[in-house]
Formats: sequence, structure tokens, C-alpha cells
Amino acid sequence: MKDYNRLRKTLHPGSDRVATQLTALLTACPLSFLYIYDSDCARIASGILRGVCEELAGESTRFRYAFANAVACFTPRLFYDTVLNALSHHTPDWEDGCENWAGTSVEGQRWNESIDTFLHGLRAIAAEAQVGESNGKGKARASVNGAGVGARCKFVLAVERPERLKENMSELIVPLTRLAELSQVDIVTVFVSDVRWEDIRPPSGASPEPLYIDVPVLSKQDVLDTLASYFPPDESSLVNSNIDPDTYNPVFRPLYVHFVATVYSICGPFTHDPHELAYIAAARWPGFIQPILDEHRQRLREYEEYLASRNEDGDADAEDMGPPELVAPTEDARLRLIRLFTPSLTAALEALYPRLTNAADWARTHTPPPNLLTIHPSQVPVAFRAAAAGHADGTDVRGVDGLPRMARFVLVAAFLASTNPPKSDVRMFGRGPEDRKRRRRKGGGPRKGRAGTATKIPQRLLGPISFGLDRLLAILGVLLEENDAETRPSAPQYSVPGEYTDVEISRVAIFAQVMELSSMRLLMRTSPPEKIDSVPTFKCGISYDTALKLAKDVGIPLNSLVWEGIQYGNT
Amino acid sequence: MQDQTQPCVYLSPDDEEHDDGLPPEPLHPSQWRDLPSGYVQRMKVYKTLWARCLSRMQTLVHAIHAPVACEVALEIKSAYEDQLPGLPYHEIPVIALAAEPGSPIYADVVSQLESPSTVQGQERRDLLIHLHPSECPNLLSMMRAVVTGFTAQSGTERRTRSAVSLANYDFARLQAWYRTLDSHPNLVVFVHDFEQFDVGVVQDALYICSLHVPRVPLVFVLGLTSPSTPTHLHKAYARSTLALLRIRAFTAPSGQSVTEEVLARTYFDPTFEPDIMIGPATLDFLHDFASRHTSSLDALYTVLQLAHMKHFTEPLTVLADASSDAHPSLTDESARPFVSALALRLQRSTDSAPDDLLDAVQSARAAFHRKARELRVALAAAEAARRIGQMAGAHSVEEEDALQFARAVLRGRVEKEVRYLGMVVRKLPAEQLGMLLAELLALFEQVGAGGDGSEEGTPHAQLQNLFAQLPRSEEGEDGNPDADGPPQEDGAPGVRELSDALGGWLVDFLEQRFVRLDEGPLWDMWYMGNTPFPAELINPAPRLAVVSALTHPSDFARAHCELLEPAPSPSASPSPADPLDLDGDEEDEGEEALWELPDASILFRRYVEAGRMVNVYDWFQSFAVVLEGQRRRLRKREREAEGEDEEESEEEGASAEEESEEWVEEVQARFMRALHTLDWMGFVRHTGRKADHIIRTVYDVLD
Repeated sequence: MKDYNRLRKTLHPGSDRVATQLTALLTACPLSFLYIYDSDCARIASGILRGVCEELAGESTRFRYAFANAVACFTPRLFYDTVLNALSHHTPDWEDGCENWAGTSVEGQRWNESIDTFLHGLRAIAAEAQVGESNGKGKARASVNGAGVGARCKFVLAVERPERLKENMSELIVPLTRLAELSQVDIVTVFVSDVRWEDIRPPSGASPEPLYIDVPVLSKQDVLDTLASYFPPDESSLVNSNIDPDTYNPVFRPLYVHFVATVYSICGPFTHDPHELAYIAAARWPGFIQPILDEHRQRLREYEEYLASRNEDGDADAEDMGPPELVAPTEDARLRLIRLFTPSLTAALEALYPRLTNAADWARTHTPPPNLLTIHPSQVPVAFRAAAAGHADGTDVRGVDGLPRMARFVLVAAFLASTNPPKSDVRMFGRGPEDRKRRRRKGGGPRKGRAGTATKIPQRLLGPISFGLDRLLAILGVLLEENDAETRPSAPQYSVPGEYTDVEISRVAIFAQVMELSSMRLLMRTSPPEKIDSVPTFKCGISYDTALKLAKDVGIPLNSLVWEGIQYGNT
Repeated sequence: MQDQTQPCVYLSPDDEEHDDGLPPEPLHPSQWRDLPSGYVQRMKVYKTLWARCLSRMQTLVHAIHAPVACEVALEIKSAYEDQLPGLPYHEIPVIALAAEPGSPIYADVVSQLESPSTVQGQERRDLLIHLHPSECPNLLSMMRAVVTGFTAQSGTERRTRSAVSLANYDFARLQAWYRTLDSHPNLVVFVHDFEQFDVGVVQDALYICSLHVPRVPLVFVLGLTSPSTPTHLHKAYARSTLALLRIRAFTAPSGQSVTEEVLARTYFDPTFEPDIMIGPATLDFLHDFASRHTSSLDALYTVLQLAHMKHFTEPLTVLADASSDAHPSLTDESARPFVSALALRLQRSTDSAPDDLLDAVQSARAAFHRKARELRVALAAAEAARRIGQMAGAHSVEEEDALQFARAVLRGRVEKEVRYLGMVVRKLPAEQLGMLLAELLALFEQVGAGGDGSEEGTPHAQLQNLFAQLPRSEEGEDGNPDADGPPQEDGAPGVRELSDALGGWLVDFLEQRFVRLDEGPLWDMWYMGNTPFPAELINPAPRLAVVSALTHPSDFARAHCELLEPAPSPSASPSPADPLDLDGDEEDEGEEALWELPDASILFRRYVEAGRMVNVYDWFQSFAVVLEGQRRRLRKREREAEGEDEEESEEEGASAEEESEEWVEEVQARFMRALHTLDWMGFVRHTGRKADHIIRTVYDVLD
């Protein structure tokens, strides 16, 4: 709960208008269906809504709300259970066998059967809440119709990621949008999404039009405020981490504000998402502050030496000067730090935005060299490089070069089969029967495209085409015959040229290799695996670069075997 | 096509049902000199010895994996302790563990996790479940597997009235269960074969879990088999999903380097003594297979196991195990051929007492193992010299690894290499010379081989003498307690002499020790020698084998009948299994006429000549024509044999009418049987549209 409080407080500066609007709508307005659209980050929008709801629930006991995530509630039953338990303030207990809220009704009543029982459940909750409100405990009497005395209870049902309702439970959308009129309970349905209502709306106008609330795009200042709010408020959050305990010392808060401004100015053109920016900032900050902490520690050491020397001198009691305190760096040092770390921010964006690595690991491997501020500016890049080299972990990465030789041949053959059109095979790989061994195809030369014809997009930009297993094996046979014949152990029993290869490609190990590669998803099986009486088809799952690398490893001239490489000369 | 007959060598015709644990007893040309129950007893010995070898290899693999497994376990345990502050939301810790399929590293990690860890003063044991792709075809079953997998572990499964409680795939249920736990363990989810999971399902499941961390501290361990750069995660999953995870990648050591290390330390380690020594042919095959097809440990185990099994087809190997005291009784009359064969090998008279023979076997075993041990020590010494020589900047004659060198040693082709090593040692500078000497001494200490150093003339003693002459530099080698000779101060010239001496010693030593193992009495009991590895069993070409069996059935029949023939005489009699009574002399000429072939082969020959689709009626017609010719020829041959031609033909003409009816039926029946045989073997595909046609499944048939 604390998180949300913090979130609300910090998000309100930027989302003030939305928050007040929501408060007004949820308390006063009779509307029963709202649609909050936030193109940037629906997570933040639902955070705002949660904050508003919490605040309202804190003010009045007659206000209850439930949040349902359409991804998490992937069956109607889950959805009903989640909503009813939340509205009735019921927490299922393991000791009771995780029973749902049962209401005051008799045994065996279940509310999660269908939309009908769900509506009854809503009414029961409303009645109970009302009775509890007006009569207090003990005298509660169930009144399922909900037409009791006193003010009615206000419910809010927020649905996050409602776009998923469409595929999972499309039958629920209409009832949910008309929940108030169906259940006769004062309930507001709020959809929070980064998809527009037009894309979810059920056909033929079965749902009423919602009231649209568009969350405005966060301004730069709002983003900066949001980022600054992630500065850990106290040191309790640092207990378990292995970074310096002083990293998030409150004295650095002003510096942090400057720091996030720099992060924003560099990464802003690529992403506005405050979460992403905060992620990058969190990864860079420990390294950013490291030089200052180093400097401080140096001063501490000097102070201790000073104390020691003074003790030796004999005037130990003269305690006129305390240990140096951690202070925010000067303007000068700040500018210098920012200048030093700006290049690494771009690197951080490149590595962290696609999550090639995670923030904690990135922070560890990009620790700046010690005592950075004492290094001469001209030496700084060298020092950075040395530090990075020192942190590069020597764990051996099992790349594609760990694959056995046949697997590489199969993958290259698959790449060719997926890139070349099938009708080009005879031209590309066909060899006359008389000189089956080692006849190089004469270069076809780039075909002259007639002016005015539309340029065909190369297949390798369009994605792989699928191919049958026998086509793959045939291409593999040609590749093996031309590039692998010398490395095989000798087998005098094969006398006909090409016979050895023919035997090799019909061996079990090759088929096993194909299946193993397809289980690694380096080959994608496109035919259903349970169908065994037809030729299995595959697609290549490796990129051009990987194929090129593999081909180079085993000595295949890939570029001269790619059909379009010849046609366009664009190898 | 000769070797195409190989795959069927060990397949006896009726080996479908053998559920008594033991494989069917293969017949072997050398069976005549086998003991009556030789096969069973050899299998017993094989099992003991192979188990010993396998457990050695598994121990080695375990040791190789231990560091990574330890690291992963530590990472799992501390997944929620080591968090970077300042992150906008909590991430799910995910460990991407790249290992070969079925790698034992998972078991290692799990056993590491079994031990409780102490976190913040209280003891905690993380709970774990395993997910497999087959359990998780959709989101509902995946969530159910996660929720019930954990809740079932606490042992306090509550009574549930399913309808009015939370669904068993509801994450809230897991949450409610977790609240009751006192120790707050991490919940570890092992996802095996991660590539096989449906991306959409896993994406949603991770999203749901991310809504609940860190209140329910889940840790995912994803078992990947694909190469780790770039990982399958980054290739297949959307950025929005990746943003929910904190991915740490680990790679279990695997591939050729691991298999070769295991191999080297099983067979060429001076501290371990394998019962059956591997031969260079098997080593060659293993090397080729690992680099070409798969370098998985499973493949290594299977190949070696097969090599052991092949080794134990030799009747004499029943005496291979020294420790087994259950030696077969050799006094029986039925053991006579075995005893005489053994005596012949030992160059004794065939009527020597069995106990004498057994004693001779014992001493032969001791001699062989001593020789093999000395060879291994020498190999280790050569390896040390090579390594230190490389440190000093010398290049070996050829760029090869230790295993290749070992293969050359087993083949006895290393004179050049040995002389080169001696030269390298002669040129070593003082520092490396000291290192080499210390290492060699340590080696001898370790194995305790070559005498205990007290006798003059053993390599160990010679080495100690040399070491005593080593001029001590100020850093002071902490050498051998035995070697306490006074340091000499004569500097460089002393070193030169010493290195000359050491080089000479090394060459002598290696030449003396690098002997061929396939000499000496009964060597083939403990050494695989140069017998080729039965590669066809590991990597057969089934379709080609079937096709060539159908086109040349008599070759196969002959090979099979030779195999089944227990008689020592290799002259094969015509196979009784042949459906047709074939003449021996015609057979030897290779190609038989079409009519001589069995029905299925005739049909197959016609099939090969057809187009993409085969009209079944035409097929039948041509089949009938061949059978007609066959009948005519057989009749003719019969008549020639019986010598009565005139009268019979008249009688025949009389019964021709009714016989032709019978004949047509017989042809039809034989056609159907042959067709079904081909269908059963998968050569025939039926079309939905043309009822009277079938589609071929095999096209390019080589002759």
C-alpha cells in the first residue's frame, strides 16, 4: 500500500487534472462506464486510478473498489472470484481451504458460476455493505434486493488490460459495460488501457458509449519529477543490496535530480516511459556516485591518519575537528561527472532498453575506475576501458560455434532452403551426373532488371519460406559433397562418386540433428508434429549473419549460393 | 553397398519381445569355443565393469559441473536479497541455464538447493517444482501446475469444496498458501525444455507472476538447450515481457571439450585404472562422432557402452574381471573347447589343469595392467613436458591435443614426437626445467610407480638424482623431501648438462614405456585394440538398408544365415529361410533374375520402375507375369530333376482348368501379402482421390 501512496503523490503533479476529474466522476457523477486511455503507459494510469480509489475508500466506508487484470483473470471464474472477494473485503484463507466470500446466505451458495450469479453476488455485497453501514453488526439481515434504507454503497470495478477480454472472455465485455443497470447496484466500471475503445468495442452497439478520459502525455517536468521520486526515501531499501550503503544518501538528492535530467536529455529521444528511464538511471547511478564516495573515503583515511599522527604527538584530547562529512559535490565536480558519464548513458540505453542484460549486472560490470576524479581527463577513456575489461566476466558463452559440424551444415542448408525460391534449386545446386564431383557453377551474373519494373524485395528481408525435409536433405547433400568430402573418415566401400554423401545424409544422426535443432527453435517446424505420414516442413530460424558465420566456419561460400545474392549482386 | 548389410548383423529375426531384462543372445562365429552359459556370465562381468567405468565418468562430469551448479544455486538462494535499489518496480529473477538436453547439471543444482540456507538468522529451504512442456499446453494448465505444484508440497492440503473456493489455478490461492509459511522460502520453478513452451502461454504466466512479486518470491530457472547468444528469450519474447524479468544467464560446460576431458581422465589418467582399456579405433570414432554429430555426454556413454558390449562378445573375456570370484567351472566336459582355446592362447598343452590356466590368466592380467599403468604415467609425463615446453615457447610437431597424442601412442606411432620432446626438454631454461622436474617428481610420488625411489635404476630414482643436481635459485623450489642434495653453484653450464640429461632420460623413459598394448598374452581380454567400432549401430541409415535389402535380398539372406550358423566351418549352406529354393551356383553369380526373388522384392522392383503414382491393377498384372514365368521355370526344373517329361505333361493338361483357378487365387494372395509387406514398411501412401492408385514414398533408388 505504501507504494501506491508514494506513486499517487508523485504522479499527481503531472496527472493532477486526471486525478481530480476521476475523483469527481467517481463520487458525484451517475455515469456507470468510464474508459481511461493512456497511450504511453497504462500502468501509470491505473496507478493514478488506484490512488484515487484508495483515497476515496479512506474517506468513506461506503466506497469500495476492485481491480481485475484481464490477463491474470483469464477465465470468468477467476474474474468473478477476484472482483467479489475484493469488493467484499474478503481475503481467502488457506486454513479455510481458500473459501471465497460466501455472503450471509446459506451454505453452498456460489457466485462464480455465471454472469447471473455474479450479479447476484454484487447485489448481496451491496446489501451487506449497506446493512453493515446503517445497522451495525449483529442486526444484519440479508436483503438480496438491495433496496434497503440509507445511502447506497458506491462500487468501482477497474479492469486493467481490458483488450485481453476480447480474446479470452469476449462474452463478458457487454455485461461489464452495463454492469450498473444489470445488477441494480451503484457500480462504475472503469477500463484502463493503452488500446482505444474502438478496438475493443463489441459489434452492433451492444455496449453503451463510455466516458472517455485521455491521460495526457507526461511533460518533461512530470517525467523528471517521477524519476526523482524513485530516489529511495530511506536506507532500509539498501539493506540487502551489495552496493555502497551511501549511494542513496539523502545529501545526494539534489545531485540525483540533475542526474536524471541528464538521463532524460540523452535517452528522452528514444523513450518517454518513466519506468524505462528509471531503470537506466538506477543502473547508472551507483557508478555515477562512486567517484564522490571514493573521494570521501580518501578524506576519511586522511583524517584518520591525521588523528593517528596527532595521537603520536600526544595531544589526543584536542578534538577540535570531527570526521569529514559526506557532502554534495560542488557545481564543478557535478559538471565534470556528468561530462564523464554521458557516453556511458548511451551504452546503457543500448544494452538495457532491449534488456540484453539486466540493470544490476550492468551496474556491476560498468563500475567506473576507482578514484576517477583524480585521474587526468585525457586518461579517462583509457581508465574506463581498463575497468570494463576487468569486469568482463570470463564465463564461456555457448554460442552457435558450439554446435557440432553437421548441425552447422544443416543450418546453412536450411537458410538456403528458406531464402532461395524452390525453382532456383536446379540452377543453384544442380550438377551433371557425369561430373558430380566438384563442378563449380558458372556465375550467372546479375540479371539485368528492366527499367520500370518494380524491384522485388529480397527474400531474406521478407522472412524465411518453409521447405520440406527432403528439399533440405537434397541441399545438404550438395553442401556436404562439395565442402565436407575431405574431412570424412575414409570409407573404401563407397566407389560411386557421391554415394558416400548419399549414405551420410540418410543416416539417423542427420534426422536426429534436424529434430534437435527444431527443438532448439533454430529450425522452426511448420507442420504439426503429430502428422507423421506427410513430409515435415520447416522454416529456418537463424539470421543471415548467423548463417554467414556458420558457413564461414565450415567453408561454404554462402553468398554465391544465395539466389538473390547473384540476382542483385548485393552480397 | 557392402556395409549396408551391417545393420542387421545383431538383429536376430525374432527379437521383438524380450522383457526378461537381458537382450537376446546373439550368435557369434566364435561360439564353438564358448562356455555353455558363457553369454550370461560375460554379460554379468560386463555389467560390473561397465558400471565401474560409468560411475567414474559420472563422477568426473559431476566435478566439472560443480562450480556452475554451485553458482546457480547461490544465485537462486539470494535472488531476492541482492536487489538494485531505485528500480521502478520489482522484477522476477530469472536464471537462464544453457545446458545440453538431459544434462545432469539440473540434478546437481537441485541437490545443492536441498541443503537449507541461513538467511537473516533463520534456516530456510527453498521449495521447487519442475515444469515440462507437456504439462503446460495452455495458460490454465500452466498456472495450475505452478499453484498446485507448490501448495501440494506443504503437506497440509486443506479440504476444499471446489465450487466455493478459489480455483486451483488461481494465483491468489498460492498467495494464501504462502502467507501460512513461516520461513518465507523462495519458490523456485524449474522450466525444462524452455524452447518447447508456447510463447504466448509463458508470456502471460510471467505477467501474472510479476504482479505478485516480491510478496510471493518466485524464481524461474529456464533450461535452455539452444546456444546462449542470443538467447531464445531475446529472440522469441516481446520486450514488454523481458522488461518484467531480471535475466541472469549461466552456461553449463558442455560440448567436445567436456567429453574429451572425461575421456582423457577416464582412460589416460595415471591415478585411475580402467578395467577395459579403450582402443585407438574407438577413440577415432568417438572423436569424429563428437565433432561431427553430437558431443553430448549421453552419446559418449552410449558409444562407450556399446564398445564394451562388443568387447564382451569374445568368449575369453568371461575371465576379464579380477575381483569376481565366481569363475565358471572349467572342469566340465562342456567347457572343453573353451579350455583348449584358452590353453592354446597361453601356449600350454591342451590338457593342463584349469587352475594352472587361471593362474596364468591372473599373471597375464597383472602384466597387462602394469604395462597400461606405466603407459599412462608416461603419457602424463609427456603431457607435462609438452605443456612446459609450450610455456617456454616451443611448438609441438603438430598442433594436437593430449587425446590425439594418446591415440598415436596406442597406435605406436610416436617416435618422432618423443624425440622432439626430448629436444624441447634439452633446450629448456633453468626455471622451466625446475618446474618440469618438480612436476615429474610429484607425478611419481602420486602414483607411487616405478619403485619407491630407493632402488637404483628405477626412473623415479634417476629423476631424484637429476633433481638433486638442479642448481637452486633463490626463490627455492619446494621440491621433494627425498631430494635434499646440496645446491650446486655452477650456474648455466650445470643447467645445460642437467637438461641434456633430463632430455635423454625422458626419451629413454618414454620409449621404454610407450609399448603397444596389443602384445603379450591374452591382451584382447582387457584391451579393445584396433577392432573397428560398430558405427552402424549408433548411426545407421535405415532407409537405404531396407531398400538395398529389398533389391538384393539374397545378400542379406546369406549374411543372416552365416550369422545364424553356429558351425565353425565358414562354408555357408543355402539359407533355410529362403522362400524359394535357389540354386547355390546361380546365387554366387551376384545378380539374380527377377523371377528368382521373393515376392516382396519382385513387387518392389516393379515399384521402382513406376512413376510418381502406381496403378495397382497394372502393378498386379506385371507381378502376375513374373510369377507365371517363375512357375514355368520351377516346373521345368522339377521335371529335369525327375527326368520324366512326357507323361506328366499330358496329365497336367487335363487338370489345367481347375489348377488355373487355384493359381489365380494364389497369385492374388501373394500379391496382397507382398503389397501389405511394402505398405507396412512405409513404401506406400494411399491417395484419397484415386482409389486404384498409390503414391510412392521412395524415389531415387540407387542400385
